[in-house]
Amino acid sequence: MTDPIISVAGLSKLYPLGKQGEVSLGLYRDLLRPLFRGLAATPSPQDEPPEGMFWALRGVTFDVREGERIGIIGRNGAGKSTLLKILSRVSYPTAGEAVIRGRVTSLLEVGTGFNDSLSGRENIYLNAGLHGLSREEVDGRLDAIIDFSELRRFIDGPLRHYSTGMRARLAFSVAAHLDPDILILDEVLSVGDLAFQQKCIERMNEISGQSRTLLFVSHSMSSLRQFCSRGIWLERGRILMDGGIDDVVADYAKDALRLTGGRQWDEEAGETEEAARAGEAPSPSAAEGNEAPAARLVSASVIAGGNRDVATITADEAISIEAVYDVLREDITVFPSFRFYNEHGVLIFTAAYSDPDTEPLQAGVGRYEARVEIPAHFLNIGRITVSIGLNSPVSGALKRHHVAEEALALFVHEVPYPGRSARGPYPEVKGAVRPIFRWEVGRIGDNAGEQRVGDAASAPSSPLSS
Amino acid sequence: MAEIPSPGEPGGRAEIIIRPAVVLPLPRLGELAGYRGLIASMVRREVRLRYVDLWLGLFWAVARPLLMVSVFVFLRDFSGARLGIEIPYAPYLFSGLVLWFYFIEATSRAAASIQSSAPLLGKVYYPRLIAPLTPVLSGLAELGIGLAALIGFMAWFAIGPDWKLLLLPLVVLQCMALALGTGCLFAALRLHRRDWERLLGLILYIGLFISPVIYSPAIIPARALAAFHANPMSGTLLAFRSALFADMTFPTGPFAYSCAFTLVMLVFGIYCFQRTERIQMDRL
Repeated sequence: MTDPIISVAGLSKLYPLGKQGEVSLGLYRDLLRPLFRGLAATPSPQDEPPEGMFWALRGVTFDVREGERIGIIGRNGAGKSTLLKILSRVSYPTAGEAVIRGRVTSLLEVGTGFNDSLSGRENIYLNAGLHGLSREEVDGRLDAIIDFSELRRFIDGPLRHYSTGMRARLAFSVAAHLDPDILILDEVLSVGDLAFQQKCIERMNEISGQSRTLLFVSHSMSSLRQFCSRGIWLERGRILMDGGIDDVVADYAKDALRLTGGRQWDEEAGETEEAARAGEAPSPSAAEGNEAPAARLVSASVIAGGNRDVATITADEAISIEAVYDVLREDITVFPSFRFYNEHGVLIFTAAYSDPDTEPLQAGVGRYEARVEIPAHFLNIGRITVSIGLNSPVSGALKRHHVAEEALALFVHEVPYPGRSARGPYPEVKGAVRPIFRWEVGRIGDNAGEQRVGDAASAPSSPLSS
Repeated sequence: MAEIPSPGEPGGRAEIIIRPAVVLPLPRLGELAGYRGLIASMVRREVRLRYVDLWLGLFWAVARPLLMVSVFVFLRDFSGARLGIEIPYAPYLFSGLVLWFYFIEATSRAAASIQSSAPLLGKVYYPRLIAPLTPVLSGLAELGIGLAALIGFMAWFAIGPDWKLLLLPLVVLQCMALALGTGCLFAALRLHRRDWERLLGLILYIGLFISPVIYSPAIIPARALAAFHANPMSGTLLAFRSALFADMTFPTGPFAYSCAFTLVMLVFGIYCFQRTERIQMDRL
């Protein structure tokens, strides 16, 4: 099959700004004089939008090959949802065209059309029907859907007796059995019970192998990296970047989260333009006191997998933070330290040079390089900023030669499925750090509430002690 | 959006072409047929929701026309008004009310269907015409219950249908088509101004009194008869009674006019509805 499964060419959508009522779309004229209004009258995306309107999408063009899994990323209002709505045919484009060659299922929400008064079974028929399945097709899949949802006991009860989790399960079960060629997902996988979501993903992978085409919009960079192979970054209605998902997410994150995987300081000012541009990083408080600095930073970098200046990493990567600094006075010894802050501004930990086993730090003028390794599975998910300080202990106190607040900013992503991750079955694990611990959990008795009869006697039977 | 094969179409690769809405949109009847399973589900849902409590649902379906029948029968008896009806008043009135209530329910709910289906229409694609079609079909359940109750009346008054009963489906079909056409037109207009909804409500309210529901056209002076029959529901109601009651002659002329009017309304209504399709979701 040589034709792309989805071809989007020049797709554009004009929306009125602000209140919808204020912009008359000329409905009456539209109804009564259609023949006088040619399509030529519609504005083209090359033009500036008419008064009171804006381009939600502007000349978006891309092709999708069968089996590609595309993640669409962008800020709020960048046009992601508009694009999905048009491809799902719930909204019309103003200009351009899209051709979809295959059966599409579009999940802009899960459980569309669910009704509280109807039973789970009736809701399955209704929901699947809305996604284009005939009654016979649902008949054939009904048992599989019910089994998959693990809700057989409740299936004939009205939906109003279902918990939120049960509804989500039922909805996902239907979704997992729609079996389309092309699946369009809008953020829907980011809600609900994680273990069950994984089950859905596995099921989708299982029934289709690699032939399923996916179009996925999400704000979660982790899910995008997990499910997608290619990324499209939309910005103000246009495609800003189209490429491998890791590259697109990394660049997007860098831009959106103001990440800095590496930086250099000026010889004189102690701060480069780049650092100044990053905005929030306050200028390094050169030194305490007014004397000329005795040491200063030259450069800093995050190193991961042999690459320098990396701004996005996954939780299972070990990284090194490197600082290069000059010592300008002969009589001092400089101790570098790195402080790690999370996105709430909480100081997670400080890596201060403290290793008693290595050589004592040399003193004297020269250029030095310091690296500290942060093990894999240690930082929690999110944006981490690193402040770097160059210090000297002076008679019991600390002399700070150069402190660069927020010198580096990196983003830690969730480990792509099915990699090992400390989150286990949870959507997230709270805490400043997120190590993988060694756990031992086992069953010690056949009945709940069974008491151990004498600790000594039962000890050998404990599954944990063997 | 151009040719869209039905989703369940065999042979795998359906090709969907998404384009700006065209100038003269035609309803894709073939596509609609492909969605008949969904139409059935939607209608079933509507009916189920109305009759969640089955007996209460049946009660309300019959109670409203029945109460009105008793009120009007008393009024007629006390006032001694002559309404020019060939058959007993109660079954005449009841049959008229049952059809009239079907018509106003179907029309007003079809007119509100875009708004009431917005949560679905904004999330998943299906032919939009299904939205106004659903209440027109689901209302038949209540009409059926009314007709079942009418059989009781007819047995009580010992009147019955003759061969004209065969025309009943045609009359009901015409009434459905008129409700759909009118509903579609007002659904389209309502997107522009909500006042249109008020107007429709007024038309349907006044309609009860200017249509032959509670009286017979026999009391209308001959010179006003043409104006009276300009109301398309007039022929429908008379034809409906004629199909049910052997003693009433079939109003061939007025009913032919009703059918012609319905055809025009259906085409124009659906056309307007389709015209607004491209802005429907952006407007809500």
